[in-house]
Amino acid sequence: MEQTVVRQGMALDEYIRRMDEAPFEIINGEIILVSPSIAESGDIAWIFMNLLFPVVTSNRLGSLFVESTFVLPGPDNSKWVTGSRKPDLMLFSGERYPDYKLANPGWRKRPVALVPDLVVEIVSPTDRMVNVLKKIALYLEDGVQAVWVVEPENQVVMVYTLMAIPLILSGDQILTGGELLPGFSTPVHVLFED
Amino acid sequence: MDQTVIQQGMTLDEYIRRMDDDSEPRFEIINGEVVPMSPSVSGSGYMASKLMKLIWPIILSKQLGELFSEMTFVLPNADSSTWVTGSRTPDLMFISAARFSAFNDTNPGWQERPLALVPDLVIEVISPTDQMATVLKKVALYLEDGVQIVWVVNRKHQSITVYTLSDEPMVLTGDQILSGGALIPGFSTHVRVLFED
Repeated sequence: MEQTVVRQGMALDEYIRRMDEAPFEIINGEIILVSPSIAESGDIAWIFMNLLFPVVTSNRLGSLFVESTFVLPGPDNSKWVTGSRKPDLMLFSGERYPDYKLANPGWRKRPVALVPDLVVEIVSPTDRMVNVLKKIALYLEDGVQAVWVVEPENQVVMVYTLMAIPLILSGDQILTGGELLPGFSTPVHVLFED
Repeated sequence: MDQTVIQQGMTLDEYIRRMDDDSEPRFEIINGEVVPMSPSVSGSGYMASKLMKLIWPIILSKQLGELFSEMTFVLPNADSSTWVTGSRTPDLMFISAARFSAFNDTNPGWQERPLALVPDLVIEVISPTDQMATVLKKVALYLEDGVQIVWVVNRKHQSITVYTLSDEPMVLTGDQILSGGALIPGFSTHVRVLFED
């Protein structure tokens, strides 16, 4: 019996052209439009960035990006995109990003084909928790080591890693950078101050 | 353009035959795919048994509903009498008395078929080798099926994480109290009790 294998994703050319029109993600082969973020999300991403950036740069912990896209690495990355995500913040630890650039001479003209070590997602009021859980699972399957989910409505940060139990932090509880970001710690309430 | 829609799952006849077939490993049907169930270690079964013993007296005395261990439910669908689209076997599941009796009343002959009723509460005892991504996908699946509350019991970390459709998860450990809430009113236990041998 003949079987048609439908290839997931899209050609790199098409991906770049369509990304210019409207940002989207490719999740399990499906194209999901990225909804414009509300002010609250941008605000928290900015606070987070300001907290993380000094620690990351002074201790040379890696490369930090806001609202950037990464695509899943694959053998055909110069021609094909199988998966694409746009986290609110992402960190490539240590020298991973500089090493990636060295190893990929054409990196400037292509989306970053490197899975981050840490991802921060800020939940919007319309996100259903069950979809948030699925997104966390997706990142962990991609190879992301730690996923921090910020939930502004209840002022909670959820920390998910590959094997440990989740941490649900609020108020005066301390979010720490762990092995990825040694030296980083903040009480959770700081993220939600006006 | 012609498009062939592939119906997910399998016919009820095939499902029952394969479920009864001892030579085939037990399986679930998840997103239309047949997924073999991994055999569980004794610690998982023992934990399920401890939970059962703690919860059962409350359910019995207040006639709150049915508590099943390793019972299979299938997703209700328009073709439930001939077709199975999804099938799950949680470690423990609870169905409230009202929903269970309504199901019985409207489904004569239900005892000869797989249970086409989504439970209200599911308890999964995860094994130390289960990856977080796998656990989260399973939890999301149950919540999308219509399960109201999922308890994930982690023996290694001696914790219970409570998941619902819309609230952020609650991680309970040690002296924190696991309670049955509105589903199993009157049930509460310190989490550490579950992990005492």
